[in-house]
Amino acid sequence: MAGALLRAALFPALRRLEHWRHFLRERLTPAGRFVLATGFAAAVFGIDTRLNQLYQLFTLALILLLVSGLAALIGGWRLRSCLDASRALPSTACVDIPLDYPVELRSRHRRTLEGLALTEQLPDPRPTRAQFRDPNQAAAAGDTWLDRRLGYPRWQRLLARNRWAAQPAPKALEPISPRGRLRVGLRLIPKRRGYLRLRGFWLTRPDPLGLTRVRVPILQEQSLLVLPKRYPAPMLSLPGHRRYQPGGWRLAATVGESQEFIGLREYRAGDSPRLIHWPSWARTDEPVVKEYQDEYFTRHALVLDTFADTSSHDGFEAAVSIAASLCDRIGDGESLLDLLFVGPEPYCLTGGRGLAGTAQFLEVLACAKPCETQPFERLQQALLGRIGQLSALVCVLLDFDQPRRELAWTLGSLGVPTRLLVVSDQPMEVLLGGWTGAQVQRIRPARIAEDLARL
Amino acid sequence: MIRYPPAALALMFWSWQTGAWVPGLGLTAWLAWAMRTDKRWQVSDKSLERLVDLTSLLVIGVVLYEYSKGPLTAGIFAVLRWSPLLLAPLVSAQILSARPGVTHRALFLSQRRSRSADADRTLDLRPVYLASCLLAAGTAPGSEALSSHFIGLLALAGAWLLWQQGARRHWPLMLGLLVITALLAYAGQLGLREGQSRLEDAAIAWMGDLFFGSGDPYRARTALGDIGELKLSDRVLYRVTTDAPLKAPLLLRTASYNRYFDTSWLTRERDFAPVPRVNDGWQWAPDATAVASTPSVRIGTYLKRRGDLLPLPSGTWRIAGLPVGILSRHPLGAVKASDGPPLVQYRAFYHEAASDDRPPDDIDLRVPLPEQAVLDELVDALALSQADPEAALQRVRDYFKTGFRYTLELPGPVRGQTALEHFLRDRRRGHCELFATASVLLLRQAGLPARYAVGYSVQEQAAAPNTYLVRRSHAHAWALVWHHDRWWSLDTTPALWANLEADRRPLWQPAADWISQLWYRFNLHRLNPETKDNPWLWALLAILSLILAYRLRLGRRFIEAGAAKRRTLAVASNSPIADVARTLTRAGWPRRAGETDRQWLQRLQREPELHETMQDIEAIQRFNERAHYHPAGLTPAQQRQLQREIARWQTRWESLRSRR
Repeated sequence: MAGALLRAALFPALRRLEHWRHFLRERLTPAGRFVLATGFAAAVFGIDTRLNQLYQLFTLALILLLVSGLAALIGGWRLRSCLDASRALPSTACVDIPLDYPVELRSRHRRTLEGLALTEQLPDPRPTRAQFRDPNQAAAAGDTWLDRRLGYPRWQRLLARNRWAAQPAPKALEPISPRGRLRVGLRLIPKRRGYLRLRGFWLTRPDPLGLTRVRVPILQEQSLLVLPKRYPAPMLSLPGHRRYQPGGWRLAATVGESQEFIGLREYRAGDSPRLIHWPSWARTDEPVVKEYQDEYFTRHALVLDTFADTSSHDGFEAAVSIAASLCDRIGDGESLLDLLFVGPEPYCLTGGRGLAGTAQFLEVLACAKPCETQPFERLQQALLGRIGQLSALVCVLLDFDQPRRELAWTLGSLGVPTRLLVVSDQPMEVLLGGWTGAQVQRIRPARIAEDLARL
Repeated sequence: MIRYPPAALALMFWSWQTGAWVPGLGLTAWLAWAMRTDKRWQVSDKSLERLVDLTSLLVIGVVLYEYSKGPLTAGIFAVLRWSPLLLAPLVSAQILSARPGVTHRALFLSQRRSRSADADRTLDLRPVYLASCLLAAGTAPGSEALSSHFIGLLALAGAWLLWQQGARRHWPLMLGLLVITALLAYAGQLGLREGQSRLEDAAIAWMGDLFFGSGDPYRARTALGDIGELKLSDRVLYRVTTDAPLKAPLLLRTASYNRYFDTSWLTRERDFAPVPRVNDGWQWAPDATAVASTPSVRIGTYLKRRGDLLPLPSGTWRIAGLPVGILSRHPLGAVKASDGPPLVQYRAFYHEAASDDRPPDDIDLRVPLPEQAVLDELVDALALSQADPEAALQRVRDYFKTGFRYTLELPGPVRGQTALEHFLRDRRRGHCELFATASVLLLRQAGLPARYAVGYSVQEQAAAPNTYLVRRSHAHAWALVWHHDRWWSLDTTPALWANLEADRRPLWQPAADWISQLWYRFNLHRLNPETKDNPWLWALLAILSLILAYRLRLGRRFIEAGAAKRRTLAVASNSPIADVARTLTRAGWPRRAGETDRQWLQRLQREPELHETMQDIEAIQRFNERAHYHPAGLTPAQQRQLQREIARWQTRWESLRSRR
């Protein structure tokens, strides 16, 4: 209770502190930060003006920053509405992979614009009150009692988690001639999956003393979908035989009813007129219809466990990345793959044989969110409802507790070959804890690439 | 890319201001060479960590050395003053190893074993070094507004800003801004000095008002009329040694006052007269030993840096063994010492007949109007007007002894009565300020000149014989009365006041006293100018040397570390990427404990120095992981391909390294 009150009281202070840090980072040049730091140190050591002369250094640093700030403020008025900008963004990007894109600038000024720099306006990464008040969010095992009470390390982790992209360095611009155009390339390294909404740009220019920066916004709203991070993974050859698919070929074809043709037979009441084979009717004078056979396919499922609480954010992100890495590594070109997970309701996307491809799988996974409102049994129900069609399963689980063991046990008893991948940092003996069913493979969130290579 | 002013200019400025020309010029030449030369050394992370440890130990050593000779602040400022010299090895290592900075892992002990990527963030020490040069140059004391320091700072700032590339385009505007900055900075620093003086005056006045005590020789605010409970700390302020055991409490006076106004005692005489040095001591009255044998007390106390009022027995005429630069005395008796060490132990010689306080005048007979009525009644009741002075004094003493009690409770203001009137008429209970003020004013009303004195009462015996502790709670007030052509102390406060104070001390007070005594002894030894060798300093130096030896892995640990290193290399030779591992380890980028191959190589990819050479390592990593983790391992074709990739990487590595 006391901790919650303390966190509630600290929240505005931490937001303000982060605001100031951001302000110093964005509004001061490295030289300005040097002057500020030196002035601060001079203030600390020169607090007594009779003891030494450091107060003179403090005064000079302070006045330099004030004059510089004032000059930047005046310069800011002249930069307003002097440029239009538009960017050509791709529709998708991928976490941790640099995204390069062009930006076109059009000057509305009558004079040549010099010394400018351009940078993206990224969404505010500061944690929300709800995020900070929840002591489980971004908590780490190594946190001390004081860390847990005050929550500053958690604040830092939440900041890193909420950051959509690595802070890009301002891109220095060539001089832009009066009413001229300039094309520049910007680079963004996304850090979070999902829809990244970019509000516009910041146009910056240092003041004549080179200590502070003036910043002018250019509005240009756009968004792109950031796909989950993927790791190299081997092809998974799953056991299991083909299963009867009630939907037949229609399920796997994108257009029409192109089933497997097996022969002709006489017309029976109820047959679709579309199946009538007109040449044979003409030859025999009796209605004859074409007969098709429903197919037996190999159909796999990739099951993603979304039942994560607020404390297992890193595990959930690791599970999404594992699913994204495996979605094109299961089965062969002739098999179907179902991506199955539970959001607000059970969700299944089928791919392979001309249906959805890897891109669609990744887009869906980019928007997957933890399911905090439904019980784990919803996943079991959804899975058992279609178990008759599935040849084999790959389950990416967030833990190996009792409900998940029951699911694995049920799948084993139904005779469906299953590969269980559990995202966990626990040692294997602790994780398994007497489990004698199907083989479980542990994937550590910090070593996904290594553990995937072992599959 | 930020451009800092050349280190040479800042170093020359430091040399100029501190007079350290030899190290300054040497460092300037050295750093100029280091920045210009093409030679670069491979400095491993471990070597940097040891260099940081060595610098830290040097800093601690300088602090301790300076602390052995003076206050702790002297040690801190000595480190600041010599910081360009202390930081020079680290900065040199950064420059000569072509690193962008020193990692947090090397700088902070807490991050040494961290596996977080944050620990590998670097701090560029060059701006830190420049800041340290500027700060070190300002450590010299100076009182001139337009000093060489200020002019030098302006010149440096101007040169630096003009040197900035972006600024050259607007040089007329920039020059104008620089002139404005210089003028404002000049006015600002003048204002800062003046502001500090005014703030200090205000703070001293406020503190004097807030706390009971005699810190202000011109004014003493009493707690008369206040509400609550009077409680002072039990911190030991003075340690007093007498020639013989005390039969009655000894009063040590710090100041006396002659004007009473609205519950405050004050004096308007503001001039302190310097006390002359006589025979290795300070003496302001004729030698009293010629008249009678004069007792003495030895008093040990901490002195404030700006000077302090000395507690002295009434009638002190000489002080010996006080190593201060200035001693001055107020006409009413307060003695102020300044420009001395933080801890002093002096001997005060005293004799009642030797009192040299200014004789009384009409101010010492003034009684405030609000109190005159009640005092008149008392004078009549006690028949003081008719009595001779000795009888009057005895009657006053008896009056307070019989009908009054001591208490630390403060009743608060009473409507229609002054605090003193309420004390004398109704309450008849109070603390020493009330007794002293009432006595002074009663004696004045009876026609006897009197003054108000504040100080401390010496009465708590310490463990050693003839030694006494004086706590803050022993602060006391009493009256001074003029009789037989000299001032006499008259203490009318009931004698049990000290017992009441003693009863309120906490249980842990003996332990606190013991620690205070130890600290006092330690400081006495530390600050004694006759002590040439400080054993504690040598002990600390020995401990530091041991830490250094430990950090440098001397002896067995060194041998074990070498064996462990060989073992690590031996294990690595079985790895598919053994050649790569060996090359990287020899180049000073070894794998850390607990790191997988991928984590290690990815960390090196993030190193700016290795970024170019580690670009093509991904393919080798994939083969390595397959060889390690895939049940089938590497096929012969894949093994050959791996060897080709490794050979290609090594060729690229060698060519890039040789180019540098």
